[in-house]
Amino acid sequence: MSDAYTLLRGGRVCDPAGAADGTALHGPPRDLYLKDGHIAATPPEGARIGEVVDLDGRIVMAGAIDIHSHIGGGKVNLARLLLPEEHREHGSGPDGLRRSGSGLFTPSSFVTGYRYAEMGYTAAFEPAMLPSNARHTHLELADVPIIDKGCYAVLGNDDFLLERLAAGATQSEVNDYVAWILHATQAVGVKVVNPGGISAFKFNQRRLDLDEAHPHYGITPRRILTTLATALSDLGVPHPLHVHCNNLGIPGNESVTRDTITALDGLPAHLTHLQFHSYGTEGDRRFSSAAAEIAESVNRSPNISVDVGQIIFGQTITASADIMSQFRNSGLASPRKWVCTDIECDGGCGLVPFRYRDKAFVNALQWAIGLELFLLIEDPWRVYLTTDHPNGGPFTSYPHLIRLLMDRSFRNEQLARINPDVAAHSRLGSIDREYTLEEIAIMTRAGPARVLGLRDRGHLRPGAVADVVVYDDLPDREAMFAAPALVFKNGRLVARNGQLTATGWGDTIVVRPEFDSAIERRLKPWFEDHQTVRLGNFRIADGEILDHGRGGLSIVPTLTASDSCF
Amino acid sequence: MDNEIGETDLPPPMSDVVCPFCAMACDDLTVAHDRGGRLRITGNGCARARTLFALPALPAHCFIKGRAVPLDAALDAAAALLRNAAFPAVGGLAADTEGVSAALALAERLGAVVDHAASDSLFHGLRALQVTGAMTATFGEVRNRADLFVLFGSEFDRHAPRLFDRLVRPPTALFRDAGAARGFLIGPSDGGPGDGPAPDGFERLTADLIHAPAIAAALSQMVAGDRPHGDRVGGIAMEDLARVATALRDARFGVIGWVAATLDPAAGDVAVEAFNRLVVTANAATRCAGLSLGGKGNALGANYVCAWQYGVPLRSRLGAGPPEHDPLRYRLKSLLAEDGIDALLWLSALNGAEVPDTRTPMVVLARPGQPLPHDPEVLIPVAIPGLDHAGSIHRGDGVAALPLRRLRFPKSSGKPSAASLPTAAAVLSALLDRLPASPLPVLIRETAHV
Repeated sequence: MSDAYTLLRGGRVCDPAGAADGTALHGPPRDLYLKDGHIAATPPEGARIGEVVDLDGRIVMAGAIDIHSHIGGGKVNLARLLLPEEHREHGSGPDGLRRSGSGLFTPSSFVTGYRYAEMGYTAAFEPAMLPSNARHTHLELADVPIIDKGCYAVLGNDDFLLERLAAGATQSEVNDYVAWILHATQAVGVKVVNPGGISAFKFNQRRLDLDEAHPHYGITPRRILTTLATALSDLGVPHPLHVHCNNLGIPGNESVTRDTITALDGLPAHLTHLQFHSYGTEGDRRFSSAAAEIAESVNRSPNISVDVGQIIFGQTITASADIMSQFRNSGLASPRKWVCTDIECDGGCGLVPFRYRDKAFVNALQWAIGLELFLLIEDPWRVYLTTDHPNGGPFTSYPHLIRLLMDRSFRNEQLARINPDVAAHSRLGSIDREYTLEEIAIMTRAGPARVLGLRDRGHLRPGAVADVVVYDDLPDREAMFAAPALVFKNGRLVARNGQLTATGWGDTIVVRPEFDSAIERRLKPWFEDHQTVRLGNFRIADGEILDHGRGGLSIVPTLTASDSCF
Repeated sequence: MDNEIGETDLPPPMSDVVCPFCAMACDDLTVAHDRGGRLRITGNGCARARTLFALPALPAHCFIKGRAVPLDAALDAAAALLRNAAFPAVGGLAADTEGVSAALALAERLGAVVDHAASDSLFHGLRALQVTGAMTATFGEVRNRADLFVLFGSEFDRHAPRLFDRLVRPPTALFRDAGAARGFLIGPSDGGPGDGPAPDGFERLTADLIHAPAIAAALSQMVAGDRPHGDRVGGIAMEDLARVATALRDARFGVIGWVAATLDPAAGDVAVEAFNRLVVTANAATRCAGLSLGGKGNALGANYVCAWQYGVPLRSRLGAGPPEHDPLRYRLKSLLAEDGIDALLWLSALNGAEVPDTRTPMVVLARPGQPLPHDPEVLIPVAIPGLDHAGSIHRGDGVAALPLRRLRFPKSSGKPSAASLPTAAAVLSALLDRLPASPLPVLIRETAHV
């Protein structure tokens, strides 16, 4: 603890979640005080100011939060091993501050932390942690420096849940199981991936629609989806069910996406990488944009938040628990190698390298669909900036993506370069909307923080963690967001002008809803009779995360009846 | 109940203990302390585990060229040896996650090549992955689903102990008749341990595994509906292979398994590629998955740690500029054979990393009792992960990382024993502290983001 304040003097503070400060961008510059790693209220007269940083009217925002980025765990690491060519091309040696590393779209752990921090991101959430892979995931994330991290446990294809649902389990039993998984795997949310479909693939079924019965258990994806969404709502877990819908990437899947929203019937849910689920079947090629229909459905559903999963042209790799989709798409692998793994009566893993080409009709249309979604979904509090790293492209392309959203003429220049059929028929060119800085601050900070239940992040009110980013107000928004002037993590300067100046360790963010531990009486024999790891060895102790001296555990409070979700 | 005097002073038996001594990573062991202070497996576990758990926790000293010295002196000598090396290597890497992690950090500081003692087997699979990818399943899926096993290799009991008890014929299975799995064992039948009569439901097809790629290719053709030319492939009659192919087509969930260590040392990757093609071919109509078996010394885990920290697998040079991976050039066995290394740090906290018989000056960090071909320049004994300290290792199927517990504690008498040795990670960190980073030129390659 220190009694000295750090004063960030005279910044234009863009803090949409701050108290009545959302418009301060156009008001007079104001001062921000940091103390002991937190934002402090204006100190009393005579308080000791240790350091003064003059911001000269630069723009100040809270640290950015990536709500959905595959940054670590078994499948990301297999992706690294699959593509030595990527790592040969993009490497860096040690420089006294930075550890050595490599990779562009599957960067190594240290590089991941450095690049996020240099871009002004101070937290990222790994969205697809299989419970059976949780220990590996946390070991890996323990080597991601600077930023805070959290994981969503993947459920909805695990045989325990499917078997219990088929046997008529009560909602409260499911709730206890979901809560137990959140505790045991040190997770902050739950993601459902192709509900039932990954399991169905293990029974040699190649597609599963929302109301189609699972070939073994006889239950439908709809049932899995609504039961899990209800569980998280009942448990008061702030982040609602994180949903990867059925039939990813299939032309015409927009109907299952809209049906999913309808099925949720007002239950809070987050639909992830929506771009991959917004495809129609119109036109000569039977592949068209359904962004308008999907956006309308989202606009009408205040219970729904989304992230887009924008694609960025170039080489990347698609990495997903959705082995059913990945096996179907394996013929598209470029280079021609891919991985599919059935995992532990728990889930799956599919890796398909892919090159998005701007002149290819399908890829160009995907690009346009993503941007249409961003621009047609009206409420920036409910749509978040992602490329589904690395599935649509690397997270390092966010500054480019921000410019596409903020700069209509730049966007239209890009549109003119892509496949001419797409350019001619897309409604994108007719959309005038340009995101404002406040809207960017909402979709990259305040919104994700709110939907994750992070009460002390994503804003700059006193008491918040002092994750602060200072930008030069450059007309080229890509340059502005690629290299912030200053980045503070926990009140400490970690990057200047887009270059790392210090390193350290962030927290692992978890949620711990209450539950009836009697569920373990059912789980223990399940692990012994059907799994290959015992329950006690499956569960991750706090010490496994804390004992390495690499950041703490930060527990998100659960919601009570008086908290509003949105 | 046993009420012998003294017996009640013993700590109670520990259940669900993880075995760190091979890639099966069985986690259902029951381990007790006997009155001699040794660990004794009283439930589950294989013969190897029973032996290695029961080794006495002997006291162990540090040595410089065979002369006993305190730890600090050994660390100083090790640092001096490594500090001036032009082309050092950090090998063995038989350790838990933290031990490997500390070894890689040291290698990065030194600009050293990193490789695991058992990497030949590892790289059969890894090089195949780099070329064709893979389609696999983990132990849990195999246990509950696999109704057909086509296993290439020999001495399954030695390389994958408890394979049949845990995965092929488990006590229970969710989606198949646990006791009725059938299959084929393809490989030499030279009478080695575990190569006796095939288990019930299994048929042995005798072949030299040098022919594994041709056999797998012929099977792929037949599974796809073609008929290969000739009467035999790799010594196996075509009609026998046709029965294997039919079984794969008829299976609901077939498994193509292989013991990597028994494949052709010069072309194991070609065999694994062929296995992978066979798996993919079978998946056109039904389900099938590959399963690599065998491995010791947390080889797969060591490779994973290197991959996530540096983006590259083992057989890489770290710290001398960007990580540089070359599976041929940086094979440590070859480098040592051609005197391409001028200082070697060897880590064998676990079994499975025999200390190489080399003239290269060597710092050895080893579990007590590790056989040594000759006295190395510096020998520092380290604690055994999973017996003497907590940690984690990866299981061979690549998904589950398992927690290791501390089972042995120093005696209250304060007499030194293996249970009071430092961990490999602690020794390596102390070495790192003695090797300050040299002011190397900054080597940051610019990378285009879009």
